[in-house]
Amino acid sequence: MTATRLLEGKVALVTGASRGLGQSIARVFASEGARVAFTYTRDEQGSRTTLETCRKSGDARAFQVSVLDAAGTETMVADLEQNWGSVDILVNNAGISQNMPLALMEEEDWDRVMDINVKGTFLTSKAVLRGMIRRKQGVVLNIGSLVAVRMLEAPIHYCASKAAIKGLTEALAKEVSRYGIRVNCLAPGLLEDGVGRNLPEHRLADYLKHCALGRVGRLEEVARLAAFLVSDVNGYMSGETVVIDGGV
Amino acid sequence: MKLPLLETPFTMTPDAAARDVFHSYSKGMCPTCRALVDGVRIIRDGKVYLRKQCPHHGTSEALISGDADWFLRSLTYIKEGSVPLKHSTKVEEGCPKDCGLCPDHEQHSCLPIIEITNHCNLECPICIVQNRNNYNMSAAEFVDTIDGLIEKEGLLDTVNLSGGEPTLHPDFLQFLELARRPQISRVSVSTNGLRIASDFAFCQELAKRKVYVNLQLDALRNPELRTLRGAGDHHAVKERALANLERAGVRTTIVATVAKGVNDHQIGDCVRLLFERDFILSLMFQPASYTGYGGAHFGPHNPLDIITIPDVVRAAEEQTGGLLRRSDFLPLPCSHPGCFGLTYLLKTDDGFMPFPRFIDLEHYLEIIANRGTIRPDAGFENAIKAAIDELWSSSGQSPDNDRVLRTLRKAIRCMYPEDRALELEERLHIGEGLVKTIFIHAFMDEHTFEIDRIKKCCTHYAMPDGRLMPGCAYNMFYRHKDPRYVGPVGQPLIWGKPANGAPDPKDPAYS
Repeated sequence: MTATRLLEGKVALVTGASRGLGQSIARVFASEGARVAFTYTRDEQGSRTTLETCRKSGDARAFQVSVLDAAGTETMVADLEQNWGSVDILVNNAGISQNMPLALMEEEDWDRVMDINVKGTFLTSKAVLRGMIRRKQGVVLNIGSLVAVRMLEAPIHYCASKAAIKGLTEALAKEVSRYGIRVNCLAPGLLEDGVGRNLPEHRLADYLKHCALGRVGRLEEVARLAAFLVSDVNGYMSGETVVIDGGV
Repeated sequence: MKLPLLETPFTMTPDAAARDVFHSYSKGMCPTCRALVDGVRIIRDGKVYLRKQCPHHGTSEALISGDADWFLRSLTYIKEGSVPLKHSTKVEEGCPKDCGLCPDHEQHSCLPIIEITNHCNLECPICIVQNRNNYNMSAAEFVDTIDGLIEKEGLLDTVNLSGGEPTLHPDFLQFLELARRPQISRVSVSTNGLRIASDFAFCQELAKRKVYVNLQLDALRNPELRTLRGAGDHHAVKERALANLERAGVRTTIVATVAKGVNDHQIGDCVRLLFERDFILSLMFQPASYTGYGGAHFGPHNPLDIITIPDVVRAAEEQTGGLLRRSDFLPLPCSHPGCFGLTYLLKTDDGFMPFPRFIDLEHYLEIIANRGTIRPDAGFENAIKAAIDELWSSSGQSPDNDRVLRTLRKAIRCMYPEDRALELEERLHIGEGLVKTIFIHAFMDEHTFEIDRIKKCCTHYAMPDGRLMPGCAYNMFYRHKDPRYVGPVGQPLIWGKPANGAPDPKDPAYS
């Protein structure tokens, strides 16, 4: 008997997938049967790695487009719909963090983090949702963070942006629910790659002390959960923020 | 327990300046028979002296601090030490006869030193050890020494390889490989720079292994260097060594022995050298210690008129036109306050800003507590955050505040880039480029020796048998009995090969 793959026949778009969690999500989605398109901005080598990995499982495409480039994003979505028929799954993963205390944070820092993390999520969602609404189906998964739901020591603009994503998820889920489109938020704790790698040793130790499983999360674990969340198996969940943090 | 932090000057009654004022009891050494004898610390003319009474050789006196105010203030910075994970000896005969460390010792090893050879290719008139040119540590001994250190300390910021002249050891590069352990953050090498000056490929090997070099450089002119280091064109050698280190990208500390009346007028020049060259991360002044093979006979020497830590600080202030101030320096709390003084300097857009000018005293002490190097741990992060908030909330009141804030913002952006995560070592490396350090480390001799300083010593010689010997105790009580060095005096080596007892004519130091 052949096991059914979670995302068989789906078209998924993952933003910011040239490294880290985005790369892992793209790879897992491909292995679960999805045709995967992803975006990247600068990391050519990373994007090649993602593309090659995904293509081992099936069709995949890479687009060098910023989430802040509304026109470029719309062109990309149109291209996908024309060539692959639809975009069934959107993962808003692209985001940045910046380790900066309040006293040293400038307006430009705030704007940059909020722009990429929040405005980028809005612009990409808007571009993709037009087709989803037309087809009256689709799933959006926004990558949030544990810092949006817990009081943790982290830069305020990053926390604010991730909290905004949680709010955006809930409002958007309500707004598009009439079309059968589900919108959820996945909020990881500290992971082996990404923000966690820039954490000073004592802050990492502090996290591990308060984490029931006593370790940081693996990208694969979060990507597997993401695959479940956007799959049809998870058809009754919307507007939810799902925390995966090892029990903090 | 937190001791009060005194920032106001000590007040003496008018007649106190004209006569001896008893301060405290001490235990020192008779400079004639080297026996441990009782003594007292007295304050006279704004300076602190150690007066000892030997039953056989009478009274002797030595200057131990050129500034009574510094001395008294430094006693308020005492911090409880942290003990090693394991002791090697028991308390039996009392300090300093139980060294190794015994449970009575009050500080772990901040800076362990491994003497891998007693061969040297210089014969310095100011040398405080005895290089008999008859011992090279074996690889097995070296591994045992490293194992012993890790057993006692767990994690080590720095392990220093010294000698003799360590670069003469025939297996020197192999030892650097053997010292590469996950428990050891960095390896430093104390050297006279002769090999570095003439062997650029060797410098590249050091850079490849991320070794830190402590380059002996007492002055920037030959007359002073010849008085301290013997005949030769030392200045040319040091210039070549500096050029090679810079070209190879080796992170460097300048180590300057300072003798009163010899090179104490060059302190400002050494500070300027630190400021001018990016690859020089720190500067260590060592007030001359009149003991050992050369130092005991170095003259002229008047124990009542030597240079001490506050004298170096005063000279730094006077000779840098106010770039540095006395208030920029503090004793290192983890050691005995009589042993170390230091300041950290932040590199800003237009110069250097000493940490004590923008971090309050309590947070600064937190940063420098129990270590001589900056490490980005919780204490450091809290102190820097508090400093940033304080500077920001009072910005506009001083143009310096904005300058420091701009620098710190730039530093954070470099150390935590948005587009990638840096490894800790890479971040530390960036941090090293932003902070420079000036240390003053006063070794003791027979005249200035005091038991209480030994008990708090954090500069230890690591032995193959696992013992950690407090530096000055080892130099004065143990070195001459060390079985590794017993035997006939050997021949000096040049790059690991015997030089037939004569200086190598090609050696630039002898040209």
